[in-house]
Amino acid sequence: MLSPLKIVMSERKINLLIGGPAGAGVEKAGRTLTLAFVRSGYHVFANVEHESRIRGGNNFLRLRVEEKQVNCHEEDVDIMIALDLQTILEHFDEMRGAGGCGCGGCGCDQNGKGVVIFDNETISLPEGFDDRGVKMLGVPLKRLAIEKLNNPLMENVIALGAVTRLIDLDISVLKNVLKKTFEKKSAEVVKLNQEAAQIGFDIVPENFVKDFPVKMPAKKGNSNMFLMGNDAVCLGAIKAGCKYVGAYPMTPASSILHFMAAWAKEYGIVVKHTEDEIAAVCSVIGAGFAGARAMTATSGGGFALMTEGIGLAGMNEVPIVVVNVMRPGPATGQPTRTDQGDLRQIMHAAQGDPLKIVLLPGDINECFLFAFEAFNLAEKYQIPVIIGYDKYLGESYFTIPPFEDEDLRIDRGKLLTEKELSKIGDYKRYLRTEDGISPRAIPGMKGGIHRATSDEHNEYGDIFEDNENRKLMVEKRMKKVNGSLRDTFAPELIGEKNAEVTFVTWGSCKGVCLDAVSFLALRGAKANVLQIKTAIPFHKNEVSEILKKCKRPILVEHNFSGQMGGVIAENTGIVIDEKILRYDGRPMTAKYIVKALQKLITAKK
Amino acid sequence: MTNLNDLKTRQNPNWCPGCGDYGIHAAMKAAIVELNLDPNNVVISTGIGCGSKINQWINTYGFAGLHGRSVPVAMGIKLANPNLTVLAVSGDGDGYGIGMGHFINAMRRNLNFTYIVQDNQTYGLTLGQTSPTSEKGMKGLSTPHGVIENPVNPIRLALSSDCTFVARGYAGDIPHLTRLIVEAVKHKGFSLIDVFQPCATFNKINTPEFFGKRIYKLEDIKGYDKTNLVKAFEVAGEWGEKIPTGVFYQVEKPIYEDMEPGLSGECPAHADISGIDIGRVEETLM
Repeated sequence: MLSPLKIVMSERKINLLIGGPAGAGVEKAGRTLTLAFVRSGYHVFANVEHESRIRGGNNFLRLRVEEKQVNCHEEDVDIMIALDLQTILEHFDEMRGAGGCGCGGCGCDQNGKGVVIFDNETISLPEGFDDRGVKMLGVPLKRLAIEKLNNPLMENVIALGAVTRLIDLDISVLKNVLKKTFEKKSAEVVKLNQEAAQIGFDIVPENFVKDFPVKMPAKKGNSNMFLMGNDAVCLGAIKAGCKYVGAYPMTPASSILHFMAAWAKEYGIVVKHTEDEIAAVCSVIGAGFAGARAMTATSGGGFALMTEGIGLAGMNEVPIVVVNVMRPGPATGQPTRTDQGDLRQIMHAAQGDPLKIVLLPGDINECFLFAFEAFNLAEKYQIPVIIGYDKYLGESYFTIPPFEDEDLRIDRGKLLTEKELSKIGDYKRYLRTEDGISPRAIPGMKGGIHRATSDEHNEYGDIFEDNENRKLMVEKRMKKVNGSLRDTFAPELIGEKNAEVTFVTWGSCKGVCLDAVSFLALRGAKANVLQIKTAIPFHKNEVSEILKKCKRPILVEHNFSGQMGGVIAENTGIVIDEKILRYDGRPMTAKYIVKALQKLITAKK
Repeated sequence: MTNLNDLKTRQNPNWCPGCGDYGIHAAMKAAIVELNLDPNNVVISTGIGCGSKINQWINTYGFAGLHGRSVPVAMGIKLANPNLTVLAVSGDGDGYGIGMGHFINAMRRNLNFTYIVQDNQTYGLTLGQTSPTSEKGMKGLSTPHGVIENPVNPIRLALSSDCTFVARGYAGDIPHLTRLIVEAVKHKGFSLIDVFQPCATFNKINTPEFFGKRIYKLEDIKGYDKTNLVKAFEVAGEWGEKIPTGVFYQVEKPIYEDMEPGLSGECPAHADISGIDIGRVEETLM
């Protein structure tokens, strides 16, 4: 399937970076500013990077603001708010005009110079600091906060006010956002924040404003949501009728547990923070067995603990949904960074041949849609469905209109009614059928009594050691995996038909690769993207067909061994030799991919 | 009216002759009959081990899952459909070893189901290792020089973990055990019955002879106050010439299901999940 790619350039766009120690309100500032942009009619992508600690260290947030939907961040920062020196030292090279790109010829836009807003009284730039033409806007944030507002915590809001002045964003929009954010606390807190914003707005010197080339005036407002990939998964789950969540907090999946817990009472969902991940997956299996749609969410380490449970769900044919939001591993790894190293783990979890469906959403829309469909697939095929994606997709923020859900349908597969059950008589929970799926009774139903047992069993569910039976039951269960192919998500080729280069990828890299495609297109190079959306069952025919016609496939993913490349090779026989692999815990950008591509091109020559 | 015939299954138990599980099996069925429970509404969740096959031979719904995990599965079943009568059953290795974390957490939640532990102080199905409740010094395949650690005292553990119904039974006294199971199921809250279940094949110490000489019933003790936690804790430490059985402790406390916000509406397993409106959630994200 070839989807066209419309390359749209935003007339107005800006990249911002806010950095500071944990506890300094970096994320709050980012969120506030984002909402101001959204209310002004813009699309925002926000990515947060923090260390695995509660206070101190250095966290930073990137905002990319455009007039079209954006799915990843860009290098070249127009405005930096630095709440500590480390932010300046670590990210100065990314400032527009600082010449830190060093790509020498990728044609990136170096017009104009960025601005760094920082407290010039508390932050001393190192001796001999070369600003390379970048505008350093020193504002005594702390002193202003204390003298004018009696509150040292207002530094970040003052800085936001300064930003709105620089870019001609209507300050009343910012003030409104502050009102909405803090009105639950008190009118005084609202006033304090609004005053802080005004102070920042007023203090920017006229020449700075005049010289700063990027203006983002308010457009017609839109009614977009501003949410993370994880939030979209939750929306999909709630819509799908998930009624039990058993989970254990683990970065970067914890927000799923929190989100579901926040909405539990309203939607009649039992949300249980269990004592560990094993209790999480086992209670989800119990709930699924009893007839409630059930889900758990975790990251690699927690998923590892759930391995046996995933095998249990497969063996006992209980529908469950397991979300794995990936981070660098193994063991503790990097709790707050991004990675795609769990692909093999989620595919092969548990003993025996893979008895599960594995979905790989690649953008905010797919997070919602795949989560919704996962519950249908789980019940239709009576099998565990795993949704795997990376932290960059799960914890970044995207703007998008409310999801289109009128056409979504709940499909409970062969779940029986008592009436249907009464016609069956001698009920066999694990009846071997044409498609391998048995009619399903749940506890409480008259006439459906059975034992689901993790020992190999006969069609009734009685433990049975017979080897012929074993063979037939293995085939029955595996038939379901292959049979689900048409109901899972086919790979998608996006972009020009006769591209010189095809980025073969999955997860959040989809958006980054599409950005790279746009970048290349504007410079006359034709590329497209092949996105893999389902790992099991693997759409080998479609992938084969597409890859055979690709002039130059290039594998793009976040792990050392090119795991998806391996999956493609074993399923299609096609080995992709050229790879762009990043495994330092940080997300890719279009520029990163283009630079890497240039290296590959040079190497081949 | 439910009768014993309703609970008969296609196959019969295949435990060793003399296994205490036969007694537990009989008592569970007798209790279901006495309580007149509809088998369609009963779910028995087991772990892995000889004893965990028990639900294969009782004609109610059942789920045999993983070693150590009968309790979390039971929790999921119960929370998805609180109208079901749920019993978790597993061995002492399963429940007090690998499953210990789930055991303690279930008790502090006061989930409304019954947990029967087939306590034979050995690992039978894996051919005779010592278990968490094996006496110090007992020899087994993995402890050829004798166990060097102290055994778990499940009764004291339960009493320390806010368990609202703490009992101990003996597979050799089926009428008594039946009464305990009836009381446990009737009890609103988490009920533990640790059952001495002699393993005829692998435990040559804790045999019917051993128990026959030592066991007494707390209900035979005049003035034994089931609501006295301190007394119960004291009595629970008895092991040697006299070993107490019966109900050590029972109180009524709010059950988890009554406090769980997600259960304030319809039962999750029977909820109507068509046409759910997520607009309310989406609005908060704008």
